[in-house]
Amino acid sequence: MHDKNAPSSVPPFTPMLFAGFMMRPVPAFSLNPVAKYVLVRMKKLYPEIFSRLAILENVNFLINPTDLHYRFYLSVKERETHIDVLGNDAERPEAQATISGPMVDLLKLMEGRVDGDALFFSRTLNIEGDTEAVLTLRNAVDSADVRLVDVLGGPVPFIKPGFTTFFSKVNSLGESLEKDFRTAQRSILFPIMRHVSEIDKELDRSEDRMRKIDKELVKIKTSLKKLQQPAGGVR
Amino acid sequence: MELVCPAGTPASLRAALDAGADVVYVGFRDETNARNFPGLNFSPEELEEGVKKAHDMGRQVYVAINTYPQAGNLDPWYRAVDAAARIGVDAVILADVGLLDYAKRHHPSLRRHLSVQASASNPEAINFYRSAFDVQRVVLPRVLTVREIAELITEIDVETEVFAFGGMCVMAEGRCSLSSYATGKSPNMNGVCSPASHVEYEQRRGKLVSRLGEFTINSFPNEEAAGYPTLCKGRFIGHTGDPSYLFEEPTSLNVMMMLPELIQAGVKALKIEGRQRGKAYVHQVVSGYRHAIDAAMKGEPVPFMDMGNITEGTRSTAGAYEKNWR
Ligand code: SF4
Repeated sequence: MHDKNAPSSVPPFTPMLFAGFMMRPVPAFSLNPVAKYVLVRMKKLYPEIFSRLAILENVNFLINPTDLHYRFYLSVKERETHIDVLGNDAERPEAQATISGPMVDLLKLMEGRVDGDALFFSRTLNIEGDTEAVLTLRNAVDSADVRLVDVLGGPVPFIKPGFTTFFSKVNSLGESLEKDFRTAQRSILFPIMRHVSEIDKELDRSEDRMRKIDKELVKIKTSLKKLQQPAGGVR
Repeated sequence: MELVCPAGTPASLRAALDAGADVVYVGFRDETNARNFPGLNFSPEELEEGVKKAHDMGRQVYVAINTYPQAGNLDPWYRAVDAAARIGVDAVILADVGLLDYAKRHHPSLRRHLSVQASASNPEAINFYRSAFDVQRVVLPRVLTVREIAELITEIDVETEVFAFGGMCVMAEGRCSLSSYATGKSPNMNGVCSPASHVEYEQRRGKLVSRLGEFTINSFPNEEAAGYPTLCKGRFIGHTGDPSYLFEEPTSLNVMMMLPELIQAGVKALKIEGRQRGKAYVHQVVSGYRHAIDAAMKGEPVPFMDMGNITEGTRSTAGAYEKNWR
């Protein structure tokens, strides 16, 4: 049986993974106000996103940054959108659709700096559950020119110029860190990943063998039945 | 050579114009166009704003109303044509003969293009559409070679638009029933091939398994690039027991390197597919093609541009354009 709470894959080796380790002592509920603030700002700045989302009736998304210890629970209910932050150890809530991927890519997707299908083709992004709802969310978010710097830097206008410079510095630092991590990942994780994929292949082969044995069994059973039938042909 | 670019949202329209599109083509947010995806497309108000922006920049907007009207429910299609005319778009892209007739009678000055969904690929068919409905341009299906296109152009009195980049629809377009077979919904009638409502993905031991309706379409092993869950690009287990692609592998069309030949053939416009894709895709492909066309028009060599990251299965092909068999 597929364990819904089990991680579906090895977390990606990213700067966020380490940021996540450091943030571990921070409980999920204390991040809730931040997430809710971001949502309020987005509703104000980009109403078009939410009008496109309104066609969804009662859908809960679980957005799962695979390199963090938190998950975002986004629900659209009666034309209203809500968000909650959950710890990875919290019980998995009822969700119709799950989107998983590295946090940086999820943020880039939110800003429309990468194409969702491209992330999906390259297997960076995983989706499960209600595919139509996921597409609706993706299209809705992509319909606005979201800029995180505007979302986060809004309330105190006079610090905005400084904030923008700071934000772009953090951004470029993040990008170079990401590159370094990818190199490190190749050297450290590659042998392990190869081993894991060998095990996966072995499991696939066993599954194939089992399937063949099953088929053989059915054949044997049918011919046995035929043999057991009294001879004498058609009655 | 005109560069015709897709936009599924106002943000993509802005991205296409910024990246150098001559024309942006869009659809209304309903079943009247062949990209009727949830959360996508334009309301009449959004279209009005988009047309204004494009016209201010000296560019154009086309509207695709290219599905076939349902019997007994023609209104949405008529309304779409009326709205496009009222807003002042530069052309409508139509497939259905009834709708072409409606547009010609009610909005004679509105330019009419024949959609690829009409699947007109020989001079007789195209000349018929020209004489009966006065279509100004035909969008050719992705099944002809460049030589065939060049020959065709000498026999018709209509501009031609060809697909340059994007999804590979391997059947004679507008005539594929694979999606209807698996889901009961088709591009022609419902505006979607392999609708998301019938698609399911599952992650199994590092493999990504995609399903459409009751069919398993593919199972991508760890690290292998994935593709769309369309039957035509499915990997199936046949008699040999090994999964293999029956029609086509997941790949995207890219004819950038053939631009000089297409220009030589007399093609009027190049179309980028992908109204369902994000604005990042639109920006990347449109800027790439803008540079390439500008270079090719000046007779310079077309610069190589890597589009691997945005293609299906992270691969591309020049498809039928360079096929050397019949
Ligand atoms: S199934 Fe493939 S060939 Fe048929 S309409 Fe869809 S993309 Fe085109």
